[in-house]
Amino acid sequence: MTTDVLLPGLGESITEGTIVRWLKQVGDAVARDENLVEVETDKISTEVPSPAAGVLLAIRVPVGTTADVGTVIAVLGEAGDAVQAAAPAPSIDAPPAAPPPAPSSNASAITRPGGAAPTAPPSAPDARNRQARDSGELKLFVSPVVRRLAREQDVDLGQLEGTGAGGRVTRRDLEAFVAGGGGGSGFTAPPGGYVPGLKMPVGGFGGRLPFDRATPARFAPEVWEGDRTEPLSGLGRAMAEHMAYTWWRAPHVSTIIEVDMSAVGRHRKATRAGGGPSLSYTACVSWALARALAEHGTFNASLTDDHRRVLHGSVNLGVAVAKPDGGLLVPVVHGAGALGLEQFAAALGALVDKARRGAMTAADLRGGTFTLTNVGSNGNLASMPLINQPQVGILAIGAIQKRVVVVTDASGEDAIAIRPMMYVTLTYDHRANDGAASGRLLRDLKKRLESWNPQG
Amino acid sequence: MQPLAVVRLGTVPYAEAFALQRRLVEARQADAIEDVLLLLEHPPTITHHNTGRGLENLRVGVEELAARGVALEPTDRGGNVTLHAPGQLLGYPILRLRDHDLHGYLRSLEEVLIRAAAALGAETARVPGRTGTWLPDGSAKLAAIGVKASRWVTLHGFAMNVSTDLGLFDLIVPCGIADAGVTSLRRLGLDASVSAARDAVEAAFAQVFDAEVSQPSDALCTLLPP
Repeated sequence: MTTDVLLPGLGESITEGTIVRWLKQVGDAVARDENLVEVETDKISTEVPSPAAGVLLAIRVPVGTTADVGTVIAVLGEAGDAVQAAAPAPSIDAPPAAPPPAPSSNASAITRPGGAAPTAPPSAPDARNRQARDSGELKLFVSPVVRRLAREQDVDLGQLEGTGAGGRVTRRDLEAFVAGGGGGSGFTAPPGGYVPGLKMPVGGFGGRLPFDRATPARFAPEVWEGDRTEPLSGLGRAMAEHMAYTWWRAPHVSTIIEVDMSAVGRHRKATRAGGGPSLSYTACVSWALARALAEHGTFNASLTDDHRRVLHGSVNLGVAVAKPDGGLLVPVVHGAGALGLEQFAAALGALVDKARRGAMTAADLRGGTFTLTNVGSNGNLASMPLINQPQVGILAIGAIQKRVVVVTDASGEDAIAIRPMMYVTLTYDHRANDGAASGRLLRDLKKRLESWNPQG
Repeated sequence: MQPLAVVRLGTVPYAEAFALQRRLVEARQADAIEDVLLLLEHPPTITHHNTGRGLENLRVGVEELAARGVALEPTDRGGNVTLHAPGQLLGYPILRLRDHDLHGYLRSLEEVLIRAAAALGAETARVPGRTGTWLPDGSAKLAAIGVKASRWVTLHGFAMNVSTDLGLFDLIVPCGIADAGVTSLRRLGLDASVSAARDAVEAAFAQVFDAEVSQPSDALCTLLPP
């Protein structure tokens, strides 16, 4: 059974449209509502989704041609039809057009095995097949699914020995080949590179991550009865993309130091007793970090694709804040390296309050040059966070725990003491800094916290 | 009234703004964000359709473009080759078209531009068959329109010449129309700034599309550049 695809109405006064580009080629599988063709009318172009799932059997209106609304522009069919459509012209030697091997449960609309009663090939053989046949490229029949997977994984099918009927290359052959290390890596540098100054990877590589390709079939999740599938929220998807990007992009190295927080604790208590503002540990550590970053400029930096380092003139410290309804925001205290402790704490407090009320504005989230995350709120001791691109480092602080430690008194005698201790992890991009530099930053931060001087 | 977030981005390279738009369109299609109007400028850039169409309307070679500091960027909006440069206000609405009427949308954009130009002191009009905003005698275009829609969510939009260096338009046949010129508010003798034009366009846009300008949502903020 076939389905005609008509040029849809695009507005009251629109009677015709011009085909700009076919987003699918003859032989490609199409899901219902997947974009099929781009049509332009006047100064506006639009993508037309497919009215049904199936395989594109024929394109009736080529690129550059204008058609009236309601014209049949393409024909969709079922997998069985597609086998005929995508195969070379039938000949006595051709292997039987068996249905493709059963796809795994997630392959959904791509093929429907079993319904493969051969039907007449479409009247107009498509150009791609004709070309392939002429060049002798398509020696063997390959199902559209396998051809698509091969394309996605950069595999030249000619390299494969088929084990299917008549030497046909099956999906299993392809998967085995790829699992054995065949095929392209799929990892290419973003054409425009990463643009420093952008928090999210929105610039420079066409909105598509270089590694963002279809999941190889063998890694696709299986969905069993009783499972539930739900879409990620916009924030969730942004996080997923950003985190995958940063993991791919930066060689992360983490170093941990332990800090005695007694001096900071005493200062907080004294400030409160003196009627001063309430200073959170996060505010105190963030402020000390901002001061330290002002002196360790290679961490308050970004890298460009042409191997330059941008040393930011101002420390704009992002502090991760959990939203009450889930999700994480990173408001930025601008110019943090030049603020006094109480100024900094007030600025951070105002931002945290805004984030919890859901009143953040874009300006509050922009321009971060380094990030701090406090993972201690649930008693967690340490974490190896991922860097917020295009920054080159992130600091994680854990819960403060009273621990038994060895201290040395003024006369040089060792003694056992109970102290509030905290683990601090610096995760840095090893392209921008080495271990020695990161060690110096951590040592400096530890010193600032242990010999606490609220005047900076 | 629909909420509308108006985001003023300053000067943004074309490719960056294009990628941002695609991200916003995807979020708008998923109803993760509200309608958005991006207002921005581009550094000198000539855009052409990514199928290569329109390149015949370039009047100089790629080397000369590079020498003059003009970028050449592919795009996928409707319309032909065009030029962007500082002094030109770009408006990129990421809107859900509830009435599914593409031409109605173009006419609404023209209405926004005509009202904004009027507020800035310039009388402009529509020319049948030539989308955009023109001087009443049809001799020159003040604002160009080029749009794309995907699942009834729009991207790209309009470009109004405020104080653009019009000499740069000699590099192309704007929109492939050879028999009419391009003008700007400044060329018309008006002392308008891009910032005044932003205010006028924002006000006219909210009026024509019956939208309520509101603070961007958190979800939108996470998609915007810092």
